[in-house]
Amino acid sequence: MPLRLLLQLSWRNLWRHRRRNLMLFTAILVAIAACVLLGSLIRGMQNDMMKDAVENLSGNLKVLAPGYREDPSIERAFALTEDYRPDIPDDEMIGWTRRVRVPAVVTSERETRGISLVGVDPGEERAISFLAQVDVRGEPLADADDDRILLGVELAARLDTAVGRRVVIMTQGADGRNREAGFRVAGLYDASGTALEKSYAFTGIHPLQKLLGTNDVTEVSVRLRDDRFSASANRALSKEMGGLEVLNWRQLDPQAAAFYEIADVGITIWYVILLLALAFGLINSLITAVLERVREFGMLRALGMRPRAVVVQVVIESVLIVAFALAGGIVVGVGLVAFFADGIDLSNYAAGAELAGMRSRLVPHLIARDVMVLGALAVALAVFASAYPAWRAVRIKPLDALRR
Amino acid sequence: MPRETLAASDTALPTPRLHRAGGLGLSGALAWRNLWRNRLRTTLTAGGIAFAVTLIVAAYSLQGGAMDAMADHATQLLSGHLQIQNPAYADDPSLRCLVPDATAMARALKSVPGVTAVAQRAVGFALVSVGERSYGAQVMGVDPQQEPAVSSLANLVVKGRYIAGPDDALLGSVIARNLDIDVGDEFVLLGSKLDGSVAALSLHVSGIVESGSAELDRTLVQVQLAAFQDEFGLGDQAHMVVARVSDFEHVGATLPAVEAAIAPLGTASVVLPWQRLMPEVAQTMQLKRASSLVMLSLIAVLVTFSIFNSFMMTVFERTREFGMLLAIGMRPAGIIGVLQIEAAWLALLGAGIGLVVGGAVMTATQHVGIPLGQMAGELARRFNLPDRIYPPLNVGAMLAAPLLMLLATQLAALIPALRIRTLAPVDALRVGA
Amino acid sequence: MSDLVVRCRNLGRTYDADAIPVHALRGVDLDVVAGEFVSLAGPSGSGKSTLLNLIGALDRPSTGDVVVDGVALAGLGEAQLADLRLTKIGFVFQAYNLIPVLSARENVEFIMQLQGVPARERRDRALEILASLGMAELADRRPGEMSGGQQQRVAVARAIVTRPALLLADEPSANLDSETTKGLLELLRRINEERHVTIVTATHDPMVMSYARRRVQLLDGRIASDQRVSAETA
Repeated sequence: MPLRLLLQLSWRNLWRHRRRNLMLFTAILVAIAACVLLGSLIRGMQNDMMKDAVENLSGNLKVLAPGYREDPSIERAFALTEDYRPDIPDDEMIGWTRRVRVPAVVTSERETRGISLVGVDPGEERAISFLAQVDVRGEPLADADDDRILLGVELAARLDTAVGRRVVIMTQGADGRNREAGFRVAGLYDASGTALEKSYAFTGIHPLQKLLGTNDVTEVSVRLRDDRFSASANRALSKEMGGLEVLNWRQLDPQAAAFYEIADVGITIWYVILLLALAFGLINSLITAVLERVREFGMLRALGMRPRAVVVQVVIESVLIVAFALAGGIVVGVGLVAFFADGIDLSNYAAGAELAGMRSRLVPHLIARDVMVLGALAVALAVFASAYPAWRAVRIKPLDALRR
Repeated sequence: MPRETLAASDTALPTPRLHRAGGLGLSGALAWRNLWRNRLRTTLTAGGIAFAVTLIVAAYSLQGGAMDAMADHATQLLSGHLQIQNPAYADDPSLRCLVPDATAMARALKSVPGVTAVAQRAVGFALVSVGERSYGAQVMGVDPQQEPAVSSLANLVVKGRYIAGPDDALLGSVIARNLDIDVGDEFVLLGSKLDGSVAALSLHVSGIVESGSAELDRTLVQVQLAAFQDEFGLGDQAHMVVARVSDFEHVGATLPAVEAAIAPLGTASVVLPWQRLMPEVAQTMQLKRASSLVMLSLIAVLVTFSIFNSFMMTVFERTREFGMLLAIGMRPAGIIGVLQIEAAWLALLGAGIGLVVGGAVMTATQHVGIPLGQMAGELARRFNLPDRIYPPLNVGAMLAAPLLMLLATQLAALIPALRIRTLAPVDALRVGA
Repeated sequence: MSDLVVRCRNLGRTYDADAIPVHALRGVDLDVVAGEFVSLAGPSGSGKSTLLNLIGALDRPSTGDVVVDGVALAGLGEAQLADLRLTKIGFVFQAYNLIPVLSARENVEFIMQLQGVPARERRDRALEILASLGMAELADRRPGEMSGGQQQRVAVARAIVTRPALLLADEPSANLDSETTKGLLELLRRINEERHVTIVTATHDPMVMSYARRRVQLLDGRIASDQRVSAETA
């Protein structure tokens, strides 16, 4: 039986039960659209997780001295030549930078706080970390020699200080002795009140090194164009940096990594659950549709159509409905994603969101792979739900079928 | 030819009667039997309802269990269930923002029914110095008698012992390691008194604690409250009076009583429940609840679709029968009534199965517990969850889910059923003939 | 003086199918007296079913009026027509007379339930009528467990258990073979003669016509002939 004829028959048959097929179409469309939106939101969360982890100074890869993670002091610094450059091709790497990060105590006129002080090269940071995108009241740091300090808005509020005022930094130098210096506040950065903002302060890397009495750095951070280059970049760095740890963002933030993994599983589980909820009604409809037409199948077979052809025709009909509804659902889903493109405002839940590793705006992120998985599941459901009853229906002898 | 004697009412125009289907019991039996005319369809539709109910029960039980565990665990560590603070302290946690008459406050708080334990604390920033090394730390002055009842920290001592006397100090494991000191070693605490002059305490390490939070272990030092208050010039003032209550979920209900109890002391202190102290925990719970609601509503909607579809098919298939019933004198409302009862049976059947399955699964889970595996373990730590949770069966969900599906089913069946009102017996009888 | 069970005057019914009016019935006058056994006969399109439906209060006439057992149908609302059908008219259709999930007895009881007859009484009456019509053994069987002929006969039992003024049967033999039809018709004759049930059937089956003692021929919506015959063997 030529495929074209089968398709034609299937298409015409769809219109015979307009109302019922429309119901089915709508139900599938709603389910698919919901899946698309939901999947995008979960992917958005997953994406945020990674972006946060990577942009929060960890980068895709970090080089650290052993023991630095437990005890982030200047004693665990390592030497780096001035002209050092990571052996990673430009098409894999966005940028890299060196930093000195030490615990310090900052004292304002009124308050004292324990913080992490990070000496950076603002030029290099701009390309790779959140410092580029963050709002700064006052002025950002100019260059690696800028001896002013950049505080988080929250931290400045706690210290009761402001742009232009002076604070005193006390920290442990390379020789183990305490060092003290005054810094003028250049600007205040706004990182949405996150934990980072409350405890991180930035200054130029050279003045900090001078204060600490060393030319060493505590970390090298590399930002890659895509996380899949991580393995090869890791190998390149490890080769160069013998004796040092090269860690990716998952190792640096295992909690974020855990969330990230769960997202993939989570999406599939939700797809299955939603499609299962749909399946009960879908199977009901398809089976009824098939059983109604037992006489018709008997007639077709009496006329000489092979049983397999009948089954194929029925399956094609179901697949057609599902395919159209799938397409419609994807269009509606994409529309919803676009509608929420600015993100769902979670600022009322900001603290909770932060705990869960999300930002205060949940932005959906649609990827083709999710849509394909969804499509495959939906079509599989349609095929199964219609093939079985159709196969049962054609096994009835034509005469018996006609007599019904 | 005389006819047989007729009943008296037959000679006049018949009056309408109330029970058009012989009463509820008989309609109930008829409706039940009608359900099973198409066994497969009924099974599938009931299955969908059971699925939705099971999911709702499981989801809310799991969620409730996890949320309870998280909140309880998180508040156990330090924040307690509620705190009395200086109104300015929340925004400006500095040494100056004090609660006066702390001891009297604590006593008043303890007298409130529902409050199970009370402790005072004084908190400040100081430098911990050993030789040439110094680190910034959050110093907490606590009463060794009271504190273990409100905070689980006392049980997390891994080396040495909890504080007892004025020279004792409890250090977080990370700060101890950074300073390279151990139990028995001496160190100096340097801070600022209220009046701005230097405060110094000479202490020895009585114990090292591992709270599970690296952040905390890196910055926490606990000393005796009296010693702290003396050296920092606080007198009988503290920064917070912490309490634990018996029903932490509804701690809000206790607030008015607490406020009333401390009012006679005449200070301007505020009472903050844990939801305000740890907004991230409260908000995570709200977020989770909101997203669950959305998801489960979606599933309920999809299942309702299938019920609607099912009844549409049923009504269509039985059109001839309805025509016959209308012809012999049954009212449309009577037929719709039978259909609605069919819908109710369907909902009860599906919900019943759902409750049995959901209840069984969740009860088993409650006993065995859910081990949060390696991956989930990381999450657990972030959310302050214990390693194994025992989610209790959520009775509310077990009541709400069947009710919801009953409502949905009734509605889903009503819309196709209403078409019977416009059915003309003549046309209906002709259908398919 | 005999009772007039049905009185039709100038009865007309027109359908507007696709803007072309179809005159199913034109100006029909018909009187049926209590105890008659009438057949409305004619080819398809003659209007016999239409006439039956109008008598049975299943349809409203375009012109003319119908009076059933002294009640004029014209001024009645839908609910009142339903009550009329319930109490004064019994129906036997061509097929699908019975509720599939109820047994024969329960089907007969059902119509009494609709009237609010108490449980004990209706059970007794149902069993009694089935027995007296020779169908006692069918009492607990469901329609699916009966032959077409048995179903039709149970339908007759249900139609008369409420002692209606009139029994209407629309093509009652259409789905039956001749042997079974004969059994059904014997039953109808019995209830007509022994219980004086007034019967009007619409049919094109000659065997059915032969049992009726008044044969009304319809053609193109009008009565072509109206003959009373004496009892005859089929």
